[in-house]
Amino acid sequence: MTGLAIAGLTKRYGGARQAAAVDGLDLAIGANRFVTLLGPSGCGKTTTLRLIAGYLMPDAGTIRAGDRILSEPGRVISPEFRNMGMVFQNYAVWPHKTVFENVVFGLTVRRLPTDKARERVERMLDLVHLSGLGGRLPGELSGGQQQRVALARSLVVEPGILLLDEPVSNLDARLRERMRAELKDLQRRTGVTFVYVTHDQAEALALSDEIAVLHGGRLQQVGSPEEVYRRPANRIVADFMGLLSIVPARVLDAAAGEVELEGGGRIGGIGGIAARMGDIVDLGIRPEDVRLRPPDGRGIAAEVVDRVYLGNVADVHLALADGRRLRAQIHPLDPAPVGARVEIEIDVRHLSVFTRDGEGGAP
Amino acid sequence: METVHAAAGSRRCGAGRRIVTHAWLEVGVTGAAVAALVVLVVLPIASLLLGSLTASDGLGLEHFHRALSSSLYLRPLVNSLILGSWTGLVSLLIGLPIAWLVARTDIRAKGFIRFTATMGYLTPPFLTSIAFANLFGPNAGIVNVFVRDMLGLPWLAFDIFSMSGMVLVTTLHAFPFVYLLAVGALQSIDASLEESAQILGAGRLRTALTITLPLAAPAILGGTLIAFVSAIALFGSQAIIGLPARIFTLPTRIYALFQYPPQYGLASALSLILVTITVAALYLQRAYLARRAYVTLGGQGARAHLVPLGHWRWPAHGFVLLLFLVVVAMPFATLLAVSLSKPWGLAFWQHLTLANYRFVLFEYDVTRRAIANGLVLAALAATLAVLIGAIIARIVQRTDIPGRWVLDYVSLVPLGLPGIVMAVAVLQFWLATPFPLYGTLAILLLAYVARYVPLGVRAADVSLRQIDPSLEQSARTLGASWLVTMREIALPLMRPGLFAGWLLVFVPAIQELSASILLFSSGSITLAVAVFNLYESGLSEQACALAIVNMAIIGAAVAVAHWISRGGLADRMQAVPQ
Ligand SMILES: Nc1ncnc2c1ncn2[C@@H]1O[C@H](COP(=O)(O)OP(=O)(O)OP(=O)(O)O)[C@@H](O)[C@H]1O
Ligand SMILES: [Mg+2]
Repeated sequence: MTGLAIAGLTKRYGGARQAAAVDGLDLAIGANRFVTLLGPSGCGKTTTLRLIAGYLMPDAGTIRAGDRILSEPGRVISPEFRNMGMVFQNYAVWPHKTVFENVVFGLTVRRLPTDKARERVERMLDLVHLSGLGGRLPGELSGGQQQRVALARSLVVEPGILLLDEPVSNLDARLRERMRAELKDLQRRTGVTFVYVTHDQAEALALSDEIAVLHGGRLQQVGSPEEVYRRPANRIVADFMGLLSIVPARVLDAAAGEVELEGGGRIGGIGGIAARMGDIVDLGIRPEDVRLRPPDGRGIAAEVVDRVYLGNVADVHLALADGRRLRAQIHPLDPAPVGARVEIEIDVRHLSVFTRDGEGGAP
Repeated sequence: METVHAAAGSRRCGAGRRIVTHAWLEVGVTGAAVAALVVLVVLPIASLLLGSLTASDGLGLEHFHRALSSSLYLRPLVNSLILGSWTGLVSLLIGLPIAWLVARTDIRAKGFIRFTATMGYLTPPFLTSIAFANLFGPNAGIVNVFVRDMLGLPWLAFDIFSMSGMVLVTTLHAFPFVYLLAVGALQSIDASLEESAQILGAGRLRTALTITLPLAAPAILGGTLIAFVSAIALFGSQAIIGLPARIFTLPTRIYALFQYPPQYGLASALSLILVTITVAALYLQRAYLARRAYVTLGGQGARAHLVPLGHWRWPAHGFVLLLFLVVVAMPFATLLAVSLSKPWGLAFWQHLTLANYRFVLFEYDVTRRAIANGLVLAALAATLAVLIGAIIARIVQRTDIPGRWVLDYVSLVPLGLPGIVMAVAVLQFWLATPFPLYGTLAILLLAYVARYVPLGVRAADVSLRQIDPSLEQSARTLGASWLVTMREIALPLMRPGLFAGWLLVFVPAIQELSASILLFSSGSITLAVAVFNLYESGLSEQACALAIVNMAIIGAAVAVAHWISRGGLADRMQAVPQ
């Protein structure tokens, strides 16, 4: 199947003085992989996808498939010649065509014999659990069913790459969960390369072989879900991948990875830190890595200032000795009433350390 | 709600009584609007029906039989259909390309195209007809004189007094309907629908034919049907262009039936035949096409990618410029030139004069009466149509009175009634009552309000839709009465929309000819009728001078309205005709 190599890709809307929507993007998309573009609203995800599809011309950079150049400034192979598929956020199911007519369209364009096309459409409708609904008009379908029509329509032509732009964000929470599972399953069974766009980090973690985190049009990090979550390349990625408390600390021993919090309290065993002794670094601490226990003088002292019940966990806001805030997630039945004095212990395996010169880094 | 009122009433008698009073007010206002609709629309149409069925011996189909058996009346029917069909077709051929240019290409002249279409819609067709008659009249039309006598190319001459001439003049007024509906449809189609086809391997042409066109077709056909209907309903152009060519159409034939001893029965039968055609076409447009129109307002609705025209922009600009010349520049320049010439002719510029203006403004005693009548009638008609329209739109949208859809439907019926038919109906009805209305301004006003009530309803409907019902409900919840809610919340919010509606009635009302021509007397003559009469009596130069005065008044009214509303008017007015 097909992979893509994106190099130096840049796109500006409305002239050279405008800030770039996509800025110098380098990304290799391996064949048969499920790759997710993740980032906050306006970071350039849709723009990247539309560049890949060939709807937009880049201002700089190239997109290649093997040794074939798909896009470069001044020359873009038109979408109809790329053998890709695209599922739009609003599904873009043609309202004047039945489900069958929607799905068979790409095969008709490819001049497949009618009976063969019919057979493939039936098989595809079966795959997305829509068999029997071929005669319906899209207006008579639910949102989830329309979404599956859009999927079937793109997959039936056996594209090399399927581009999906936030395909489940219009569905309700339960259906979204189910469609995610089905998408992952479809990708495994068809072996098509998926390039998936979302702003939902949980979705990205659950689905992807590889996540590319974008921010402000720039690529921040590429890696497996675990890499991106556990070893965020910088503060932006760390922040985006989950709740994160930033706590400043002074380096005591860079090689052994020992630091002292500004308000008092030591943390050791972090591993090598790219800083010198005495430097101030920022610790990125995830709430699930903070444990509370009754004070015994050995841990880091803190006070519970707020507690929010979330059902499966309780979100606890803590104030450290110097007044800095830290969030922790504990079991909802664990005691830690507001006002309680506690000590905290931090699981250093997930800890991120950011030096003050801007460079990020995991231990 | 009932229980809340009851509880409040038992606690405080005074408050309870007040609620009752205002409930009566609400019922009273509602009832008055319904009654107005009955008197203005339902009863005249009923008496039209009755009149057409009143034979020499009781009820019978005698008039219809005559109308459908004599070529005297069949020929006009066929001519009306030919005129409507050709106008619809040519309007499509003009309106669709410019709609595409505006909606889908990077052409720069978009504001210019919009302006041209708006002017085409606003310019009264009988004025365009007078202008073109002065250019392309077979003997004296100066373009014809020029190509025949100066160039010596008589085969280049074009006789405006022909079916093609009639189609040409009518199309200039009708193509904006196709343009407006098509541009709306093309702009609302979400780009992703087309991009989906493209990435599946369909090229531009295939995408246009299998996705874009089917999606926009209902709106485009709808616009074509409206062009068809408005073409066959126009009286002025059919009289000015058709009568010299001896091409009778249904409106001019109906008009002729009032000339000698008026033949009401036959006129009513012909009117009903005309109405059948227009109502059938409008019904098709509303019930079938409007419902098939897929409104695709996607949440993230991406705008369509604009097609770069490249070198094709030159022919495109040429086409747009030609359209502007024919629709705006030629009619207005001609009217102006004729009005300033001593005798109109090829060498008119050698004898420029203001005498025609002096005549119409100071010597012709009809003018002042006509201007006063026109202004008063148009202002009153606009106010009443918008007022009634606002109440009816409210009843339909904001109450659950059973059978309110009937109101909605009845209020739209006049759309299918050509002006001359409305005049016949109003005459039939009021002549049968003891009120001596014939020849008064009142009967003109009744016909105008009835004609333009649909525009009032549409304008109110559009602006009501943009106001969330919760805004009024929260006022009621806070204890405001119906009257206070109306005065403080509903009316201020609807005011800009209603104002646009008012203007939308005022402008056509001040140039109304089709109905006025049957209803006026020397005391109640209006501007449009005065221009028409001057032209018909051979005073072409003076007629053009009065036409220019007419246009100046309309221009001033629009400018004042535009100034009062600080610009937002054009958008609102665009929303109404659809
Ligand atoms: N057609 C356009 N013209 C001008 N600017 C645009 C256009 N489309 C997008 N932009 C800008 O480019 C930037 C990136 O937009 P893009 O649509 O790629 O964001 P996104 O990551 O898909 O966001 P979202 O999650 O909200 O869909 C934004 O700042 C946006 O305002
Ligand atoms: Mg997007």
